Amino acid sequence: MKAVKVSDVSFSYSQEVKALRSISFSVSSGESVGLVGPNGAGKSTLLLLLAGLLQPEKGHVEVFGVSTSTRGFSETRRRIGVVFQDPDDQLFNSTVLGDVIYAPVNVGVPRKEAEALAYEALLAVNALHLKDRRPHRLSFGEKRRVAIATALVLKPDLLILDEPTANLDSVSRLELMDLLRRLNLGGTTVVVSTHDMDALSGIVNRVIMMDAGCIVGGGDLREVLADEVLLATVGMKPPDIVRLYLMLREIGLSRGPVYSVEEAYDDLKTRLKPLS
Amino acid sequence: MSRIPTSLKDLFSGLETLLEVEDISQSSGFLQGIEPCTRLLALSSIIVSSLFASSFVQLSILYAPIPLLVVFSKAPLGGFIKRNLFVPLPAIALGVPAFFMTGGNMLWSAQLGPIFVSATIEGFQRLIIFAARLWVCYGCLSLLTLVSGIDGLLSTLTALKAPPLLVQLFSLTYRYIYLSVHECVRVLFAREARTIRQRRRLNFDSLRSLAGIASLLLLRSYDRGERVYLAMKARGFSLEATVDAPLRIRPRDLLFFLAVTVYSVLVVALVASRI
Repeated sequence: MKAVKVSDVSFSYSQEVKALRSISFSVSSGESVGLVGPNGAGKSTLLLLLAGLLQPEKGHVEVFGVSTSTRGFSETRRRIGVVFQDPDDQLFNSTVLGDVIYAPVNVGVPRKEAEALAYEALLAVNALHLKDRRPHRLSFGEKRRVAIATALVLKPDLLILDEPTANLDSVSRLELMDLLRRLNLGGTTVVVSTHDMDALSGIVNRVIMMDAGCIVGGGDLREVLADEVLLATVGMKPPDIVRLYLMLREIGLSRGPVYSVEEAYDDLKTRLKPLS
Repeated sequence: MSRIPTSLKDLFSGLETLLEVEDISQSSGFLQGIEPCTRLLALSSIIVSSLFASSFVQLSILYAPIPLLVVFSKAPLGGFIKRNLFVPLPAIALGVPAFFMTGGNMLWSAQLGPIFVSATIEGFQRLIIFAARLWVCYGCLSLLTLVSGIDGLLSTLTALKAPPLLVQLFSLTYRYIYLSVHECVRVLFAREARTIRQRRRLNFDSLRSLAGIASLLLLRSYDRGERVYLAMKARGFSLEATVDAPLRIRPRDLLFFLAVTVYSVLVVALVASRI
């Protein structure tokens, strides 16, 4: 079943600013897809369209078989969790707990159940100790974790994240990547927009590349990461570890690229062991 | 605000601090333990009684329990009194015409050209009662805002069957105040980061700069407001959405309401009969 189906969608904020131009793609249930591209490529707009928060000018967007333009889509929205680029936009209540229970209370979950769901979501992002704090007094990393908890609280089937690893310290970043990987393994469909090519390899298995409101390429993550020319068309570079192995391959010291530090470790261990 | 602001940043940081009264509402004081709806009605009974009070003595007795409630509610009494000290001045300014326009025993008179101006003892009494009445009302409302968090106020409004649209507008306004203040503080910090000569006073230049910031702030707040609205919509917000408002009145709530109401009525009725 398709979790997301985008058919010939165009969107513009004004006559001069065309954010998306005739975009079509689909995402299967349980898939994890990354949107990559330079600033202004239209990634954030596309994510807002997927969440039904903006309506396409042309074409249509379906999520779990329901068009985002129909009135009944608000029911489907319960199955979607959205994490915005700036956590300050997402956190607007007086306490962290108040912010996390906002969605369940809004959709009519009784208070006690809503609190239980909120505790679970906060625990998942390692932020339960922040429950009584004021959101605007948290550090950026803490705000980000709470923002993710607000999206996870209703146990969404589709999780949409806009630049989730931006401005996070390396430990928080790894924790977030691990969480997203676990959610995806548990069956949650993940659509994530990012510039962070290193993070992509830990989160997604397919990439859609965007530039100037159009899809300019994409495919299996490993194929895209190893294609320096394709990445260069959208102003991006492969992760450092992939680049290192591509350079080694060029001088005949490696047979193929690796895509993560763990893979590089295994490769080096195998090759260096006979020498020791 | 612990001191008078001497710069724009101080001014807005102070405003931000004022918005932090929610900290008090979350402490475990006496009034915080009373059901919000009962609390509102009980303090309203003091306000209503003050409208019927006709002497300074009555109003003073009505005001007497308010500082006690502040102390029992673990709110800072000093801050509360400071806030309340500001009330008599505007109240007297508003009530000054009564001083001159009420007939009775002459206290002072003067001929100002063609106009004869006179002040009376009865006018003075009216002015004092007006200021005292305002003080009682402000004291009650001030106490209520100190001990009621936004969630409590929303629950109370919902429990009192206020129109849902009004409740939602109230909650949105509250959230946008926070956002606007934060946006303003950010703009001011950004400005200060590029200010070589420190300005320490609110003067014409800084006020002109404030006007420029205000227009920029309006645009930025609008922009942020749009994004926050999308975030709320993504989490099921609609104008039809209801605020979770469980109304659980316990015996202690009822006792508090009855005690305050009976006290207010007795003060007005008994003290009036003795004067």
